[in-house]
Amino acid sequence: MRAQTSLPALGIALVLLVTTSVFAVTVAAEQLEASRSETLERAGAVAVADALIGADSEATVRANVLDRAALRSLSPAALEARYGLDPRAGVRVQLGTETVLRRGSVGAGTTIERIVLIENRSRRTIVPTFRQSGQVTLPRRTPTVTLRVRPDNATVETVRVNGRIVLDNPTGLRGRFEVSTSRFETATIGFAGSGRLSSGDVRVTYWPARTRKSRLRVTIQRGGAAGG
Amino acid sequence: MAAIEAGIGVLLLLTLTVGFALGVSPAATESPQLEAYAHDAAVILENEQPRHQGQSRLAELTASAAAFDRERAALDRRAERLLPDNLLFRIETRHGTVGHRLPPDVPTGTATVTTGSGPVTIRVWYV
Repeated sequence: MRAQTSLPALGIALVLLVTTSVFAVTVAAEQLEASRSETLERAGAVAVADALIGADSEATVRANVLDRAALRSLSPAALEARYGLDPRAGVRVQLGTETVLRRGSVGAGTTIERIVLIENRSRRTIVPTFRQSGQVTLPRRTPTVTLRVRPDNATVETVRVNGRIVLDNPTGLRGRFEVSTSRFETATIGFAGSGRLSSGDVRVTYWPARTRKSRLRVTIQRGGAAGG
Repeated sequence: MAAIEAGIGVLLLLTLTVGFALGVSPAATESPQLEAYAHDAAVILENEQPRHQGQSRLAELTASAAAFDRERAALDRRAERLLPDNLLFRIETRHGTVGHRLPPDVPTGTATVTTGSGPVTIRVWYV
């Protein structure tokens, strides 16, 4: 008798319970999915940023030092091919406040920020006066030096960089010469020969680097390639 | 009776749901970023030219106690400028430390560089 009267109540109770269970499982599944998606997104952003600023990257001069022009010429396809970007992900790469690359939507994406240096090499020329000695010390370090040697009343037979002979001609050097120098020490260039060198006989062109710091931000949104 | 039982059941399930909604660990979101900052600072300082002598700026710092005393202020300034404003840092060497005091219980990012005269460890954390 009791069982019969409470049958509708039992039915309602069952419906309630099943509804709640379904709701609980849905919430749990969503939470897990969101958490996994975020982790994967972050891992993707970390990997792309790492590859972009690594020493092997095409956008860098050496590790963490970016070449701005090379970074600008990157395309999403290149990021996929060489820097491990997921083809379906939306991506944005920013250098400082400038967006250098963008594909799809990244509004809800995950961002990784890296500290980088941007290197610019500019050309400088000095004309040694040779008033005190036959040597000239470059004020800044440089990977190469271009010498233009046109002495009027003297000959230059030997050119030394930090004591090491880099150019030598017993009958006299004349013309333009490219000399490699060390990036790690200050270069002192010595000229030896006969006669007395005067101002204008030699012009020294070098390429000092100027670096400034910036931030590289890589934002990735999973499945964002199609959107906006 | 059945209604009360069902009520208890629903309550139980809702508790579980709330547990899921709150409990899925908010995976350490800041640590990869902090590690990245520490790594970048280490790489950049390691590749920087020494001010006087040595292989690199960090190697120069660890060379001797005298070199450390001479270089610490300059390195402090350099690291301060390099790192974002919302970060504090500490650089540990055999001869002492440069930077801020590390508070207990903060997530940090760490990078260690091996130089000819001993390891240098850089730690960063959010203000």
